[in-house]
Amino acid sequence: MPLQAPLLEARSITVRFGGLVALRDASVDVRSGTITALIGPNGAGKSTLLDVLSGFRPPSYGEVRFRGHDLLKTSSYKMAGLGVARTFQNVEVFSRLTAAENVAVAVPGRDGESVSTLLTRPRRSRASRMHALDRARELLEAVGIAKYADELAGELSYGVQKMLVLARLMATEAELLMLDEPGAGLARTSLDDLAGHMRSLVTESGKTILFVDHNMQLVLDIADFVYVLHHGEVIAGGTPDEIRVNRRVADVYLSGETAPESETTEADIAAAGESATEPKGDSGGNDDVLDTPRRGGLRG
Amino acid sequence: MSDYLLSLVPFLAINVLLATSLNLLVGYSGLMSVSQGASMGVGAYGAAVLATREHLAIALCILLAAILAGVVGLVFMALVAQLATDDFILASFAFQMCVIAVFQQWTGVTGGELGLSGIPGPSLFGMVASSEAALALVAVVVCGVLTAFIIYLGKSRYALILRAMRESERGAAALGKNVMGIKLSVFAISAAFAGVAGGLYASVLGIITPENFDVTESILIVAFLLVGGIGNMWGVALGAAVLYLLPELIQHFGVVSAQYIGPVQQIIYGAVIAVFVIFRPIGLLPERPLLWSGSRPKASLVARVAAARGSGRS
Repeated sequence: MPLQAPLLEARSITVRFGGLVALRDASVDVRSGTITALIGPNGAGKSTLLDVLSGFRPPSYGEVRFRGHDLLKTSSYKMAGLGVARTFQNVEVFSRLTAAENVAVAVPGRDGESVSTLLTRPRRSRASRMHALDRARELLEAVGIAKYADELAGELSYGVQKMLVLARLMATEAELLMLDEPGAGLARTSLDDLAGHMRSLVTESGKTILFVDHNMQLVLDIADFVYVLHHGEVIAGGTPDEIRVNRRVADVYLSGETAPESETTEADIAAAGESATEPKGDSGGNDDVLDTPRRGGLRG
Repeated sequence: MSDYLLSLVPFLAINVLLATSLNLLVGYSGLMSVSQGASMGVGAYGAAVLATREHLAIALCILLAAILAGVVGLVFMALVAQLATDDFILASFAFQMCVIAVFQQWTGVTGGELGLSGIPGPSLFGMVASSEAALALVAVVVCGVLTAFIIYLGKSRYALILRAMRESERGAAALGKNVMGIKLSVFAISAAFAGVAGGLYASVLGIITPENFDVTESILIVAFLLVGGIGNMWGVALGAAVLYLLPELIQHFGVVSAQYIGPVQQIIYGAVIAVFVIFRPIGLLPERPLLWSGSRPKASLVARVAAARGSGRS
């Protein structure tokens, strides 16, 4: 990637909760038109970092810039207008609104959103409402859940809710989309769908994606750039191929000092290590992660 | 007889306005408040003081008093908007008590426990509504227009955002909605409409005391919503009609002798609310979505519930 200024730059982010340091001097860049992933064991600070970057948690120290705007001086609700929108780990669907309404809420348009515009521009307010609904229908179609449009979001399955929040995020028209564990709890086929949607958002809609996920396979499959967090620090940053063969990353995930967060993660990195052997396997000698499957096997 | 029924109409209209205005707050925004009586009182006292002391036209007094009620509500909300649901209910209760304390203690202006009397009846440009029929007409027109506006608000994108905020403040903020600003605006609007209801009430009745607006009144307005259907504008209007008319008619038709009507009224309210909360918590007319995408026909509630049950929820 050429030396083009990153879309989002975070420098030296430090977050303390009382005596606990949740993030220490974390710096990440997100380049326009790429998919960037944050991974790491539970408690590594991934979600905290995403909260800081999306304006939902002020850091104790650090700097976040998006297209030159100082995001730390921006209220969280103004982020979407600037071009930054996010999802949450616990989906945060609007349960007693229909799926279509959930998405319509996110469609930009000032007319009809305030009492003053309702009074002064009743016709445009009505048009804006119809537009929001049309757009919502399109986006539900795009993520393949159009048939649930008039169902209450709270009654939908978790997998459908995940797609719903993705549609909602797309509706904001934000340029930088932050996804907090988009793949968590999804079945294999839904995961493939998700990966497809994320890729087409970048290649076809010109979006930039930053996401946090536990699923190593998803991360290594679709990310252009990966940051690994451990104990609140960024211990590695690189392309998936570089991360696959990074010794420290392997240690963090497979050594006894930190318990991996789940069975799947363990299995996934083992699988990832295996698949990484062809292109880059010759680069590191003993430092290579070639031996990770064996270690994983010993542990299991 | 018919004069009696006619005399109920202004209060019926006022109660419908109180119910729909509170519905914006409690039903749409999920801000459970037991202070609508206080906002109504600010409107009533504001209008009464302006009319009896400054001798302004009563219509202007009611308008100014409604603005005052909105501003007082805005100030209150600015102080407590950050509070979570349970704390917010307590805060609204405290607001209610503070406002009543002012009515009771600021004797020089409010007349203390004795209240204010001699409040002029509704009039506009010198035309005085003196007959029961004229009073009923004025109240129905004023409350009808304002209720229609609230129903219009309730169908807008603004209402959609209120409901989204009710379901998840974080979710709404992440989509670019100014949750704090919306909370302030909806509380102020709701309080201002309650202020109009209060001003009209003072003008129709001619005399007000603090206990007209105490916490029992606030809870009664919440009961309108519980019975009618929280979140449904037509439902809460129906709830206001049922809960207001039921005790009045029982009294009028002599089912219960006049000396017991006070306690009997309370028992009726309590029983009706208990029955609804236990057997039909969604109220007479439950909340409906604002936007139908048309992906399937507008099924009745019964069909929707049956479908949801049949499809084996997670």
